[in-house]
Amino acid sequence: MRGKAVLRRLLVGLLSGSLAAPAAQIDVRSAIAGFLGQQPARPPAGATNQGDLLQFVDGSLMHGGLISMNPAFGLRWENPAAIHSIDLLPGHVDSIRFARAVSVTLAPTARLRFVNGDEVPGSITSLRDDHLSFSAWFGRSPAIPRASLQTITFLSSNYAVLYDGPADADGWVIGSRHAGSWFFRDGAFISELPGSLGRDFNLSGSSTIEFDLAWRESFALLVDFYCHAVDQLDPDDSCLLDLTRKEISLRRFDSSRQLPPRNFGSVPWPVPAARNKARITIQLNQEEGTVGVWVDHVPARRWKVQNDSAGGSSGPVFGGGGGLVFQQEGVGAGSQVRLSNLKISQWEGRYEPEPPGAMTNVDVIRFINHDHAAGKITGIDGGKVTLALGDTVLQIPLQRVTQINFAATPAAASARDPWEVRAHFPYGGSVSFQLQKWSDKEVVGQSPVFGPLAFQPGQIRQLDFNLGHAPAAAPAVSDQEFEGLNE
Amino acid sequence: MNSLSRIGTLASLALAARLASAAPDMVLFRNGDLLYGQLLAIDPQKAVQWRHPDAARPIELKPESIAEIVFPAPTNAIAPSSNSCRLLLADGNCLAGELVACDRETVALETRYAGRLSIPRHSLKSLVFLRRSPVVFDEITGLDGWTQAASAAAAPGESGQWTYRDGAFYASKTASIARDLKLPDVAEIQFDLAWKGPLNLAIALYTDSLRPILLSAKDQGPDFGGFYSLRLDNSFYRCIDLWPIKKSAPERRLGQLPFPSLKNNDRMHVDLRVSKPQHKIALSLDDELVKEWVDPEGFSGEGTCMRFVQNPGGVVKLSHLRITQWNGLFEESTADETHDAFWPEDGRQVAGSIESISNGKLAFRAAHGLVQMPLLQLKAISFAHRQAPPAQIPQGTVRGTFAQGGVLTFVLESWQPGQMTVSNADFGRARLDPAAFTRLQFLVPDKNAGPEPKG
Repeated sequence: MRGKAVLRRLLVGLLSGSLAAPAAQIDVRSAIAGFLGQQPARPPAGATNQGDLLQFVDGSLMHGGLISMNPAFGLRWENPAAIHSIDLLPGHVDSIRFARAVSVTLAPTARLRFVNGDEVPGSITSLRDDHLSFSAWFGRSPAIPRASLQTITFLSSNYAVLYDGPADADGWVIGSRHAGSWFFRDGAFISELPGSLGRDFNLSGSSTIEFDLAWRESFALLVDFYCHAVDQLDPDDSCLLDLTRKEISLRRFDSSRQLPPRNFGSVPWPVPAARNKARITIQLNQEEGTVGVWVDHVPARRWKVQNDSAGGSSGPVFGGGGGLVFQQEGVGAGSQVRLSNLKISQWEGRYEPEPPGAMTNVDVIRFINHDHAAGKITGIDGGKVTLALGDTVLQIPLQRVTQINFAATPAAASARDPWEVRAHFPYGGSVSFQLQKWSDKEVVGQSPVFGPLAFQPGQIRQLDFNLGHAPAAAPAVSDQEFEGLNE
Repeated sequence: MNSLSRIGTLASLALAARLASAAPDMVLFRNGDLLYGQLLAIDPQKAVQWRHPDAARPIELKPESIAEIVFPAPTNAIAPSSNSCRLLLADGNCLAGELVACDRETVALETRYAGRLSIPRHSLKSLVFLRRSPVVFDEITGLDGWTQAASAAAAPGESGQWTYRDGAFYASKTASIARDLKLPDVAEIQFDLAWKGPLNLAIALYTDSLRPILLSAKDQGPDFGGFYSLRLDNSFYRCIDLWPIKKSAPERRLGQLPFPSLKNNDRMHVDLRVSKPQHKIALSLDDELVKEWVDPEGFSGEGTCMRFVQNPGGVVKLSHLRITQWNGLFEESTADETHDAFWPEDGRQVAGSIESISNGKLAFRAAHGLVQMPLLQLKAISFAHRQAPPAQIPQGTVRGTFAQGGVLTFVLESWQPGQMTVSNADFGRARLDPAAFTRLQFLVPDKNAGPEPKG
């Protein structure tokens, strides 16, 4: 019988045009599939993959180290697979991710989002004559043109960024039930098997959890916040946000206080089927007892979770711990989930720092009580923002404002130089500028918003090139194949 | 023009053609890195020369750091001729070519990529002739001739339509599309699927209904003839399943299999081989046989139509639908490895000893004497062989995958545009056309293996 089966397989293989190649020394099929999908696969056995990561706009990538960079000569890259160092122009370079970066320290009172996509924490002094006076962590900037601003988000006085990463797997706990279910690679945690990934952030008060979620095939990701245990989900005391390709739902388990499980309802997953990544923002407001979820900066739903049925119980709203656990549940064959650009910030009071809103043709002020008013902002000074509503002028104390969204202004499209780069700083946001010099001691550039800039290269976690060029899908897996479908 | 300068000119032309090609080559490193660009040259003792659009000079890569190089597939398929065949060797290599001759010692194969190869008989395992099968349906060209219908299981407002674009049908909501494709009794049905999000597709085979059948209420609905429902579901049940469906008959399943890991996780090539007389349906995904179903109650399909029903899930793309008559070859052999055997067109197996193949005829000594048979009347030959022990992998061993199917393992001596020089234990040293390959895998050598294979 065995001979029959063998020959049948051989004949069918012969007829079908090829035979399955015997296993290669590394799982190259998985690696190709992973990389073509622009989601790095599990590192091959024995692969070191240490060092910086150079990524191209076509989806290809190469580890190694940046030796030098100069707009006149290009960048010189060292790669262990290359006999000599490689000299490249940045025409097709997407980014360089540095393996190590020093966090910047700051105590910002506001976060500015710019029209060009930059985002910088700092402090605002005033807005006069269509120019903003602003101090960033890298120095006091000259007056910033109002037309370059998209959003000012005001932060509470005790606002603090608890985490901005991951840069490595240190401090994270991968659940022991399925060891190896999550692994770290190139600034992201990747899951191909069911399992948990947790860490104790000593969360207290209110907090914001933001991350990029990318997936292949299906996913079912549970996010357990303010949990005690970080090596697994805590069925006794947890507040679970359930993210699937179908819906987002919220549940609360609190058997420690003998409360029944509560399901707070769901909202349909708002991401179109043809997309496979999204920016998730979770706002956990202890004071209001709410959980708000934004997907790609658009509000999906806000749940009120204050446990009214507890009969006046004064227990914690979300959970009594300070941990955060991601649990990947329903992973099928070929499925993959990728978490990156995780940022956790903490704040108190009702001063909820909302994600930047979409630009409209009027200025919009958002208030602490989630109301908003639209008009023309004429200035910020003396702790007040002035809003013109027709003939009425309002002077609003900044303590009552959470966010200002500026009206969109027509921007002239201009060709972007490949040496116009965007630097990402741990805890320090991102800034784009024309790169003028890069040495092992100093990075020098010129920004149309901030003017001359200088940083230490060790402060930069990632440098983006070709800012006007969206990273393309690799040739074999083309999103364009499904673009424009609209039944 | 002397031969050397001619080779040089051909190499230059080949390089120019490759550089002008829109689709790039890809090199995958052992650490998982990858680069697109163009392969310029390989000297296994020194370096792999790689051109990258951002690099001013060719990049020199260490051969030992490379896992494989992938080339874009050629678009011009070669039509098989009467003696076209694939040879499967005992060591797993698989070669395509024209069968020229065979004696007690060797088989001669004329190939486009290496000229004439002479291969020892004892290295051979089997041979299958590749003949042009009558095409029943070839390529989706539009919605004309197809019947669309609302999915019977769709909730109100959830039903959509298949749309046509660039040789493919797309569905992003539940939708059904069907056609009488005149499926033959013995058929090969091939198509490509690509998807975003969950894949949840039901395919009706040999149905007589162009409208979808609501299975949960099939007995109360309009009459229909029996058919097979092939379910492809990578999300909820995560399986592939085949159900024979008949009116007023209880639910039956022929056996499911877990949804397999695929070369790519968002697309696959589906190849169904169906034999009504044998009550069989074999499913290959990405050229790998994954399941063979046999219906113990006889063939249930009563029509000649196909229907594709997209169920709630993601977006699915259906393309390259091709239906041909098939030779029905499933497993006619006892696979007796100590004797030769062949299969005429009628499908019976004849065992004995192959004396020779020449002038388009097979001379075969069977139990009842010498048999002569035109090759045109043969489907396949199995050669007596010994199980090959696991081969050592010498330094510089590369496994090449042919664009037209098949693999060949060899020691690579050099690679230039237009020509690569290799050595192989079965046919010795040879010059091959690199354009024949879509993939070169650089195998990790055994520690105790010598530098060259015998040959």
